[in-house]
Amino acid sequence: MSPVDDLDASLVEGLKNGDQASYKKLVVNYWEKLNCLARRLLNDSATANDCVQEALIKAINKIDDFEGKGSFAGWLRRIVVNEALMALRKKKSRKEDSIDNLMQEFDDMGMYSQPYSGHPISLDVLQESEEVRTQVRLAIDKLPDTFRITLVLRDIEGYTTKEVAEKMDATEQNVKVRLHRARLALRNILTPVLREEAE
Amino acid sequence: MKCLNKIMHASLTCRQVEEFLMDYLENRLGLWMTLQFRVHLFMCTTCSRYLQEYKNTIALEKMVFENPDEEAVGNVPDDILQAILKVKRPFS
Repeated sequence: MSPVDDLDASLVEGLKNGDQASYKKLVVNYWEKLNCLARRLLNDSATANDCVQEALIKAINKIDDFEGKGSFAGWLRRIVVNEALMALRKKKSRKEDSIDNLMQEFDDMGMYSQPYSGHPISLDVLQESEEVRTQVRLAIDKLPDTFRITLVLRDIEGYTTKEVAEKMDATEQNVKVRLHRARLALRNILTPVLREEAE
Repeated sequence: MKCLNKIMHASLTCRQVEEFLMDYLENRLGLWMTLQFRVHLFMCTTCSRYLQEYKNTIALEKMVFENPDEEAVGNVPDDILQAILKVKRPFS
């Protein structure tokens, strides 16, 4: 099957022809998904709205560049990611919060300062709870920008380490360290909440 | 018990296990390191539970975003819709 389905193919055709109904269809069909992505990256709904607006306008203007080799949705998502990263670069002036306080502590021997006694909660139980989903989203929002973006691009959007490094002007090693620390921080934010949820 | 301690010391510390968790899960550790890692996990309940929770965390974050529609984004603000509808494509 072609990566671009029939509905998207006719939408792309309409956009290329400057058809206003297709513009509207583009917004209606993709607003929600693209906005979720932008909000996740930017952690601010007003900036996310602006970002998606810019991305959709760019998509319309650059529609001739879409070659149909990958999915149309994927192409749109990449534009949103680029716009979001640009928005973050503009606002980046203050020093980013550290996540050291979210890391585990070890003693001088390199062992956990506080060995933990509970049992990991079954993933099946966690997946079924709407409260857990909300808590996961909130926990991701708590991560500082660089860590959150690395996590979203690598784990959720499926970018490779190399691609994330290029997008974020970082080395691959840096991306790996950030991703790992972001996951650890997320685990450490979530664990007490999830334990409470499971009780 | 002495023997166990010896093996334990030949293996990694909890701090090192935490440091190499991602590489371990992505099969990027060499054979010797993987072996040391497994010995540590076998001996240390805290680390084996920690590993399980680390894996759960990754699964959960992925699962949450498989259903982005669950998030309440709201309708497209009218001013945004109008701005997009006004776009004039070059040569359109």
